[in-house]
Amino acid sequence: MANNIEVLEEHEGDVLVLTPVGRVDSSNAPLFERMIKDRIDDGETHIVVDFTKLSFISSSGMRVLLIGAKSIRSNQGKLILCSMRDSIREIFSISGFDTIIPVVKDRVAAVDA
Amino acid sequence: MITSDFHVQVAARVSELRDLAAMVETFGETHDLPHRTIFIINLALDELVTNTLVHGSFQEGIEPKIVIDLSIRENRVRVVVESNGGRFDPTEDTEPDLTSELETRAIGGLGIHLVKTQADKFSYEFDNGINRLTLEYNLT
Repeated sequence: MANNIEVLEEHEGDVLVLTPVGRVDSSNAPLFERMIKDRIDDGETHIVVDFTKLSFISSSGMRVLLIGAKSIRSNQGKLILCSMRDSIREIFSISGFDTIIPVVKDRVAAVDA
Repeated sequence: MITSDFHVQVAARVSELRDLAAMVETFGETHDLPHRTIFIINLALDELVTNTLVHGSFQEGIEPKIVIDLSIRENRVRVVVESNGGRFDPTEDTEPDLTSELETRAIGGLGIHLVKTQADKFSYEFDNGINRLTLEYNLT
């Protein structure tokens, strides 16, 4: 049985800001994947994932972001990540994800990107 | 010298990961482990337990068991994950694709790569029907 995921959603102009709360792990990554897919299918072309309230993400959560970035790019859109704590930033760096999905310092930079 | 031990058996369900993570956090905080160490242990457990559930090929008629031990020995944290599924050695996984562009980047293999990269020791043995993964993290 999957665990729930809490994601705050706000629009700043044309930009959709998603703020997942707590953990994205193997138990709730499928729900997060469906949510991002639905928003892209709804026509969102600039999505920011704000990591401010995220304490943990596993590789299954990172995979969701990779799939989302590929999908939105094929619609000429962009997915931007921001406000990562150091331990999360480290795994994005080890995996090389930060070279293919933009990671910026904070939400202001992500919305302006 | 063993300074502390933590032993837990988790049910073979991915929904158990959250309770397990909370226990590891409590263990880490009790022993004043660095935040990064707690994080990478939980990352490893998420990968290894999930892998075991997906690839563990538990036999019918045998109750699936996953047992996790954490211990602090001198300046190292040792994590042992034992399961009674079929033989499965994740240390043999090949290196994932870490360099190609977004459009062609392969998805998968990343979790074990992170576990390998962050652990100071990562080993596997199959003994008496038990898969045993041992990870060590230096605290210095």
